[in-house]
Amino acid sequence: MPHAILVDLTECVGCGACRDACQQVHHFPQEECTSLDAHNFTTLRKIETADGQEVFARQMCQHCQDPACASACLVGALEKTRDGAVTWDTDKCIGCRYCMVACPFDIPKYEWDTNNPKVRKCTMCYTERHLDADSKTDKEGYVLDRSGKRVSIDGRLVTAEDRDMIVEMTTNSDGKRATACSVACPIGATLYGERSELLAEAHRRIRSNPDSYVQKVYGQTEVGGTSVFYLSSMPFEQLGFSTKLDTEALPLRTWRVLEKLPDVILTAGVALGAVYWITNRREDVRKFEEEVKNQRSQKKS
Amino acid sequence: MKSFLSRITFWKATAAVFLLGGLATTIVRFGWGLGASTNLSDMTPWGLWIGFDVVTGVGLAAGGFTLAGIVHIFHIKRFHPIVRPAILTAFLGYCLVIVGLMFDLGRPWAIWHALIYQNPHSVLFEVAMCVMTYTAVLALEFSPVVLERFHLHKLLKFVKAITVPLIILGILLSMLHQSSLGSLYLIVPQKMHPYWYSPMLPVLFFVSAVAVGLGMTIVESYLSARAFQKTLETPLLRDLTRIMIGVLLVYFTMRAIDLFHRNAFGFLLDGSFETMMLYLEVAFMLIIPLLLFNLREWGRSRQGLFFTAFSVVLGFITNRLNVTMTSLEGYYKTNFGVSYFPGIGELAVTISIVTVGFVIFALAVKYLPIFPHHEEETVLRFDGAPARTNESASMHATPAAELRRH
Amino acid sequence: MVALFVILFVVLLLGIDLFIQARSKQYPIMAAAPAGQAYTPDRETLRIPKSVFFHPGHTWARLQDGDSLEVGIDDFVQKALGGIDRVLLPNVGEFVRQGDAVITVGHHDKQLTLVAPASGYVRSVNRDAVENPGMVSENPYRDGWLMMIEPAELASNLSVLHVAENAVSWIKEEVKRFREFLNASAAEPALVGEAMFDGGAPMAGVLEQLDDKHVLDFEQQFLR
Repeated sequence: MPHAILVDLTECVGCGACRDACQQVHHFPQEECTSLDAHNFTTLRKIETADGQEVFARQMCQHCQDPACASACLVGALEKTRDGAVTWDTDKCIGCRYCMVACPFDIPKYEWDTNNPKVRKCTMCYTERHLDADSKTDKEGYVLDRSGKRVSIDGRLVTAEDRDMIVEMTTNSDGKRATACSVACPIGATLYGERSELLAEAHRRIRSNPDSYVQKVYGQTEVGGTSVFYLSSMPFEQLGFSTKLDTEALPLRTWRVLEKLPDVILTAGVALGAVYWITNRREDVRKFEEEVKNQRSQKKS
Repeated sequence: MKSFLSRITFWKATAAVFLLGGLATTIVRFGWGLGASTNLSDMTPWGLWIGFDVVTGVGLAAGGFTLAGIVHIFHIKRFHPIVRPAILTAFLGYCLVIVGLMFDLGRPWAIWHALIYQNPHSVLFEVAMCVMTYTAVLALEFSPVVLERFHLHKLLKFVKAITVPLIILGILLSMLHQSSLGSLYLIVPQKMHPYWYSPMLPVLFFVSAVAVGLGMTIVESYLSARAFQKTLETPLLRDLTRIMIGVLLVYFTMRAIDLFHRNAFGFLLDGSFETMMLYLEVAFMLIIPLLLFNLREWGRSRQGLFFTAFSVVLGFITNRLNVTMTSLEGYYKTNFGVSYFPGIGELAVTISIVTVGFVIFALAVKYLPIFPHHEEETVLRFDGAPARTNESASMHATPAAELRRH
Repeated sequence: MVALFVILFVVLLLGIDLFIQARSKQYPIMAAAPAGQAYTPDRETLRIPKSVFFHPGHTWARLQDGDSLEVGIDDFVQKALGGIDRVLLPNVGEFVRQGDAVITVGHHDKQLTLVAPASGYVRSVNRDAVENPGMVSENPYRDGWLMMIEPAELASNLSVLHVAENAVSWIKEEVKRFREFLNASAAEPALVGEAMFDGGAPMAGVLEQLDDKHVLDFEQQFLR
């Protein structure tokens, strides 16, 4: 079943626990940050409203249902998994950065300062969530997967100690695995669960409390639907969310062209062949007539 | 002779400065990464190297398939002498595009991944495959020149036997990727200015590439004439210019219809930077060429044709950079408050790549049979004075001899 | 901004180039110095291309794509006249016969009519050359062609024409004969200048010095 994240911004108090957990579980430097980069998969921005209130806008990958980045990637390094996460495979990436251009939310970020850079973004803790608590380790203490290969996350081998930390950070109180940010949120403003259930929950909240929410679940229809939903008490454009997005999935726009290409090529190929055949034939006929003419005039003389 | 030398020296010196800058940036780029050598950022991931070196570069190299098609498929044999210089430019152009791509890719050593991890849904995958295959096709289309030079007749015979299928393949591949460079941008409707985002982008990219391919051929022909006295006849170039202008008229009709249907006409009087850039495009690509070509003397002179074609090339560059950069500037400004301008290193690399292109083209024209042979002829003295060149010496050898003296 | 910058940069380079060209007048832009000039740096040379068929009346024909003849005047008559500044040609569609005087060229006050090198219908005329006769003097065998004809009796026509080595020895003879003609004309008082036209004397534009009667003689003796 596809999973999703629901962020209720009306509940968020801006403690930053989600961000800290994200940095910790991914071994990123612990730091305050206001914008995403290659080592910050989620941020909190403080926005002061006109009446002096403070609102926090969380930002992270939307994990689109039909992601533009995955469609753009020529080597298929980005992938929409069946459980809803959009993941990336560093080893495939050639560094063209088309995913960064294509993303309607400008999420993928790049390691500009190294010689072997990677495109990186939130993976909905995909690998972390699938790391077994009782997985075996080899002699040197590295965790092995079921096929006996060493597990590596983001190019880093996982030790038993690491594993225990990751498992702890990605397991909910009810024992179910979830993203580190949702586990870390002390007041349940970020929820992780099945997409359909979370969507229903979002609409239930809006219905039962219409005064404290704008009538919109951000992420439900944007670019064909995403796997991260936001609820807010103030209009989303004031929070810096992109609100001009089409409800149609972006990859359809390129696919509509790409799917026609085989037909175009076949037609154009045959047409070019035909033109060649006709003009070539014309040339031959002309040469032949020339010869006949020449022979006649030679006979005359 | 002195002034000729001084001119060459000026451009040689300029080229040397550019190349040194390019070399320095190359070291920084591959030693320390993209961040150190460019002004690219998380907000503006694509810059000059993609916008000019790749998207514009591939377009400027479109003369190869256009002329090969005109001559070998449509059998308009009059243009035969232009095919070789056009294919040379195309081949060179594509090689340089690949060089430019190597600079821009974060992990250039992994470029072969496109061959094994294929994503048929990616426009870029299609572009990569076509560019790769087409570069190989161009190498084959160009090979007769080298084979002739080194008298490898058996191979030559083989290549000539497969010419027509090869050229049809080349045209199909070009149709695919010239248009797909436009399709690349179909996925970012919300980021681009309505002047340049259009569902028609692939078609518009293809048609304008055909026009500029012809334009580049005319420009090169003029430049090689200047440097080497190797050239094509003016009437032939004029006919080529006429075809180019015809294609441009079609292109701008499509452009106008497209803008009209998308209700983008409304912006034309807003005086914004984007509007100005659109006007610049139209001026260079349509108005100036039309005026120059119809001027009585200019339109017939080699120089006039050069300026006509050069203006089209400028307009084409404007268009590609407008699509890849200008149209996104507004989005970057309002969303991130940043604007991208290429760093000195990016400029140095781009200029170096262009310079290398000029140098290789010049060397090829000098040492390979690119432009048509000059007809053998005898030169006699009229006044009966002892002949400067031997009587009945073939003039064929003379241009090279003259060159060596320069 | 980037687009604007790139365009301005390219225009700047072009401007510098034009400036440098303008400063070095010896190597003006190609419009003034066509490719052909590189091969005929001297007015006192006569070019004889190998693939061109010469009519004894100093016009030439070249087979084009097997089905048409390109026609023009040769270097000899063009140089003797000292250049070309007007050209008169038959109309498109007209039938011309080999040996008919149908081409008229002039320079300053001198005018010559030349014959068609072969018979056939005039398919097209070189309007560029008519409007800009300088093209004929610059390169009479390429850009300076005059008309295309559709040959009617090619095989028999060709037997009259000189080509390759024949053309070279014929032109040599013509130069000799021309010198004798000039010497003979010089014997008459009307001719300006007393120099004898033997080896070494400049010949280009020498027709300018003849009076109309001698020009007519030249036409009769050399162009028919």
